[in-house]
Amino acid sequence: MIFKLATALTFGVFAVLFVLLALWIGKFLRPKGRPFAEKDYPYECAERPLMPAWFNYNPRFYIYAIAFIIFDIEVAFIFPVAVVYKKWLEAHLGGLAFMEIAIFSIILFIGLVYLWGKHDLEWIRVMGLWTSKRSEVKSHGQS
Amino acid sequence: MNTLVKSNLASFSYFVPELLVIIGILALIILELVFKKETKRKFATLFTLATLIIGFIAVIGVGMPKNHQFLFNRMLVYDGVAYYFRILFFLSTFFIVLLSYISVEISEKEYTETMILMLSLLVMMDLLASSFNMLMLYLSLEGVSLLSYILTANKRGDVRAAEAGLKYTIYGGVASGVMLFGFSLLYGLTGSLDLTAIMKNLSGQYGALIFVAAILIIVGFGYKIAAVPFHQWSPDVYEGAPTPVTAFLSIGPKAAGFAILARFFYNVFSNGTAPLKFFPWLLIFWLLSVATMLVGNYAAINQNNLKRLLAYSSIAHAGYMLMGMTFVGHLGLRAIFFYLFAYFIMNLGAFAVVSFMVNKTGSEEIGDYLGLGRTEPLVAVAFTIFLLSLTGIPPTVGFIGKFYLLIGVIFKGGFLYYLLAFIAVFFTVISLFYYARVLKRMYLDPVEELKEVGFGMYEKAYVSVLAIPVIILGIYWQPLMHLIQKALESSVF
Repeated sequence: MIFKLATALTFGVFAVLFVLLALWIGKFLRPKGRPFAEKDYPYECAERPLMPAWFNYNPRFYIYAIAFIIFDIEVAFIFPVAVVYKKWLEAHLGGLAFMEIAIFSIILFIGLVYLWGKHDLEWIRVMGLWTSKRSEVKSHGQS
Repeated sequence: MNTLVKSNLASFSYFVPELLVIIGILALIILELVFKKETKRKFATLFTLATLIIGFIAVIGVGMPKNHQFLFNRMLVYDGVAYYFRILFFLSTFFIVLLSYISVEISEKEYTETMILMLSLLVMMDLLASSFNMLMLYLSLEGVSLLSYILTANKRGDVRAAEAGLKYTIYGGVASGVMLFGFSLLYGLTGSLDLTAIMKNLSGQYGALIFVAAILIIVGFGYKIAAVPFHQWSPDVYEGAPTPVTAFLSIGPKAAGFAILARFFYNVFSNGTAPLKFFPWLLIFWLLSVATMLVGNYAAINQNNLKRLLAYSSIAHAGYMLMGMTFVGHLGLRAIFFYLFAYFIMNLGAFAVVSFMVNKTGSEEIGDYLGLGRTEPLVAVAFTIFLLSLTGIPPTVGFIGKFYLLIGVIFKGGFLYYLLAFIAVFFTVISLFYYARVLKRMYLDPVEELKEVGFGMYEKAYVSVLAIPVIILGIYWQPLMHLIQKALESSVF
């Protein structure tokens, strides 16, 4: 047991040593001198950044992905019940199983209703300052 | 199959409070779509409070069981401790909802969602405090975490809240991943997810692996209770989240974390009276407790933002409470559970005053509390009581809580325990410094011109309702202690 752990320990020690060694060797190879401005970029060797990364972006796809989870989970949980449903019927527990899955579906359905009621199923949606004009914008978007 | 089903159905009678709250949540989701904009805040609050009151009646109705009951095929356990924590969680949610109602930090748009999330958090905390299976434990812990992330980041368009939410999510994800690895090691060693079965199958021959698993699992729990060195998220999150949410995070999930920490380690790594022989119980919790006290108190000294100060003080208090975990026995558990209740009242009070100040002045800086003692005597006196109680000065409930924690450690005896008690008292003295800085600002610093803050009846009543029990429980705490003792007797500890 202890010897097995010793292997892991050796591995760990070598991992740390390797990093230190690589950095140490790099000291001789890299050009001397002060770091230049490109050094501070997130990706030193790639495209030049155009603007700060902190900006608003449209989360439409995320909302649809979340909405998809409702149906995904529904299938994932109803499927196993459907497979064993016959056995449950034989054990005279069919009503119970049906009720359980019905309650489960209702809870998920409420999620869908909420999403719908919050206008998250509409593709074009304006947030923030123009919320009060939502109906106008919506009709414009549909036309 | 029939027995499994029967056990599940029979469990529902102990599960009524959570079921009622879940029904309330579902109704609130639908009602959110129906409410009119102008009256939304009022109706959502009333509905949430009604749900909580009905749920609380159900909690009392289900009552404390004579013996512990395993629910849902040993997924959950319902015992005295689960009952005690249900009371704690329902009470804290009730007060937090009242605090959110007048908070300017939670806008109308997010208000109902915040209520829904808080009720869901309540259910998850209940489940966490009573889990008895590693799967259920992980699910409910993750549920508590996810809801906390959303509550933190729900302030739309606020950079600080977004940053706090992101940090919290990443830190929490890593911590729970590490904890899951620990669970998988335990499962691999014992082949079971049930806590009792794990304990029975553990043996000394896996010593080192068990130690590793325990450390990995402590990462997850330590992150939930903000113990050092897993505390880095807490100051940023506490500062960025809306103040009522901060208050909730510092009392609710923390208490749930302690409940499950105690339940897990008492059931897996001890036989109820002593830790398993090959498990270095004292070492782990001693170091954790001292490190938490040290960092929490030391970092709090220099804070000028009151929410950050309270965040570090909350870390320090986790350290005090971990003293009760350094040994196995009811003496330690009852001290922790008592302290959690004390901490709930006094910390909620302190956060309430901070929240009210944010509502009125928009500032969280200690400097802006200048002259509060003269402009708002009642609120200032209540704030003084809360801060003194957090320090642990008699006759407040904070003193009694610390007293029980120290008694446990000293009764245990031995050099390390005496040293621990000494360290705790030493840090209590240090903590007086940073709490007293706030008091000095309110009462002693010279004021050139008084600025009216203008607290209404609501705020004054709120702080009074919390300040009075701090004093009363500081003088007459026996009923609460009696409840905890009785709860522990019927529990699986």
